[in-house]
Amino acid sequence: MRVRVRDTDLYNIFKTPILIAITSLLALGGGTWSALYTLDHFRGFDRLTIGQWHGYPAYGAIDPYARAHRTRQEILSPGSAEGLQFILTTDSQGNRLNAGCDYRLTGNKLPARFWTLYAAPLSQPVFSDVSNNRSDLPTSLYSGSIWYKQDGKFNINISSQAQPDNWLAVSDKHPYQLILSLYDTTLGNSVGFEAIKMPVVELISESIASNPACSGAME
Amino acid sequence: MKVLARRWLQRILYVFILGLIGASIIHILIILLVPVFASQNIWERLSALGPERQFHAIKSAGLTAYNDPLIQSSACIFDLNDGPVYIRSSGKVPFWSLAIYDHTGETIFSVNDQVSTGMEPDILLVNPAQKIHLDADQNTASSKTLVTSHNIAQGIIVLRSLIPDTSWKGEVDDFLTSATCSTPMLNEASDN
Repeated sequence: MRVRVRDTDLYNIFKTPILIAITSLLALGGGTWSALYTLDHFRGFDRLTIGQWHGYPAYGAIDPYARAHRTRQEILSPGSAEGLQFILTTDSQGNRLNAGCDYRLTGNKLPARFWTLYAAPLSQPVFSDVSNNRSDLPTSLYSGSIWYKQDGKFNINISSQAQPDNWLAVSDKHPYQLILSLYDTTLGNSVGFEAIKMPVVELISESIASNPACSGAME
Repeated sequence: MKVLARRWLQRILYVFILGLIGASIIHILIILLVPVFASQNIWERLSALGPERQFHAIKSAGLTAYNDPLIQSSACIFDLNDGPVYIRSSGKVPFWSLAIYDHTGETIFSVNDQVSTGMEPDILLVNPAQKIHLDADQNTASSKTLVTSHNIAQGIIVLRSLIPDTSWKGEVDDFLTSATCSTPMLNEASDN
């Protein structure tokens, strides 16, 4: 009988502290984890999606998530008078870009003074120094030095093998994403911009047969 | 027994809800405080490149979102309390742009070669107090100089230039190395 009373006493003494401890642990752990997760994976609400491309125009310092992300990743993002970067990770079918496959990018005139296109490795989503690898190959293209068709449209073949027409060389070993940077662009600065057609990246179906590494691309 | 189980369920729910509220408070606090604390990192990384009020190449520093291989950039850190910053560079390049960031890395001003007053950067950065002095003495800045006033102390300037192809590398290198980000002599600006 006396033992039972002691048990209840002990229970009554430690009930509140234990509950407080669990609550604070939940709050601290959950809060820290969720904050770190969003810092690494969420670039802010100001995402601008056109077609399959995503851009993150800096509309100012309003969005605390975008701001925290930039500071944590130590990014000095281009200002509105400079340019805007768009990222593409999937082809027109919505499949992830496969390093073993060949793709064809077709585009029209873009609303920028000029643009550049290059492939950045996926493994380093933020910092990538692509300039070092295979500098003798066209690993980056400048809008002023590619071939256009007579109507102003252009094709760019994205492949690890040399291609006719415009060729963007990529490595077939590392998964990549395409970065299209528009410089001196009105995009992302104005609210009522017209429907802008961003380039479309399609899988060249013949490359599935010719390259065994590509076979997993179509499901 | 039933009462005890219900009471425990109540307690668990209570702990969970309180924990969730606490977690969201901490989440918001961390998100808001990251720029305050982490901003020191950008500053330190740029300070490691060299002294203040001088442009340093940041090609390898990985400080731009995605390092465009066709864009070369230089950065200069400054403290406006030590005096205005006068940014100049010479040379003809196909494209240049300049962005001014506060010490947290937030863009506060940006300009490119076609928006700017001349083909070469000629920009005077002042704080509001210095602007008053400048306005009082009309002759200090030439009409070509772009004057921009911001209420900041520490800040970062990044000058970017395009290399369309490798034949431009020399010109762009010269352009970026000739870039200065110095305290203006009061009559230096008026000479131009």
